[in-house]
Amino acid sequence: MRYKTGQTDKWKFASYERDAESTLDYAVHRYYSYRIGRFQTTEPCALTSSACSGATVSLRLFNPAQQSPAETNLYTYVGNNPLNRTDPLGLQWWCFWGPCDPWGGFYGGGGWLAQCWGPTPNPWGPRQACERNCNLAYASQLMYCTLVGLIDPPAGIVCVGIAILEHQLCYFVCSLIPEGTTW
Amino acid sequence: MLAHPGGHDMVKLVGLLKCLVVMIVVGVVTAAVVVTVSVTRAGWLAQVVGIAISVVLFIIAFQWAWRRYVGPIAFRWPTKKDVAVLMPFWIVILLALYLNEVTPAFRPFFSWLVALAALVAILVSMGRQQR
Repeated sequence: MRYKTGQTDKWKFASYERDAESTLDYAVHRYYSYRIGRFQTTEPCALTSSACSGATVSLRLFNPAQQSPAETNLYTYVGNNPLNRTDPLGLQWWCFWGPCDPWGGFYGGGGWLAQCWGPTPNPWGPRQACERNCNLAYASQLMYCTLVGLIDPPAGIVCVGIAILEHQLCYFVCSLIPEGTTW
Repeated sequence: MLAHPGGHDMVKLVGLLKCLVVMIVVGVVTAAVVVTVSVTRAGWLAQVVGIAISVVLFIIAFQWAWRRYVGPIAFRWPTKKDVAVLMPFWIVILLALYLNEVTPAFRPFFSWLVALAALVAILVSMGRQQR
């Protein structure tokens, strides 16, 4: 993109607008210092949900699954992973294709035994695939249980209970895969 | 419809517990299938087959264990009316599955919300039967 005031290189990486005087890049929600490769202020969404929409609120600082210091440093650009992530607004980094894994989902999950909530920037790995598969199986089982319930309600209710137990068991087995494991 | 054999409640309870034990064993097997296709980074087809195996195993085992230890259970293919009744609840379950993927804040509620949707579906169908 060209800027029409004679400055042909005003628009920089990730569409940041460069201010030659201050040597900072304007990233809408904060300034990025291209000299030191850091933002001047912290990630606005990291500590509060007020600046962000519900779906993209970042509570990742509170996530026990945090692994990399680069990802907990709120001044870095996209957790030092610019190949896979972008942050055009200086608000919260995000993966290029929306969700952060090739299947279109995020890491994490609920469950009693493997409670691990919150959005995570973690790359898609076997644990995430495992939890995804547990969820898919669980949803299918519940759909079957509703059919059983149509024929025989008590059997359907027991079926739902068993499906819940199996889902928790499945999550527990997935939790045995160490956090952050990659293929 | 299910015709529970007559008998003491304790017998029924023991039958239910036996059914539960069978399903827990099946749960271990299905979880092993799911984990195996996950950690080996199997392709999408293998993943789908793995999930299908675990679901079919669940269905067969539940039907068998219920018949064996609790009582006869009638099987019939769902009619169009059945599907029409259950469709809103299935949509809720599938929507929750999607939300679980794309909305981190939703994740802690996923397993309970879909279970609730399934239970409400059963209660609604019970209500329809009684009318």
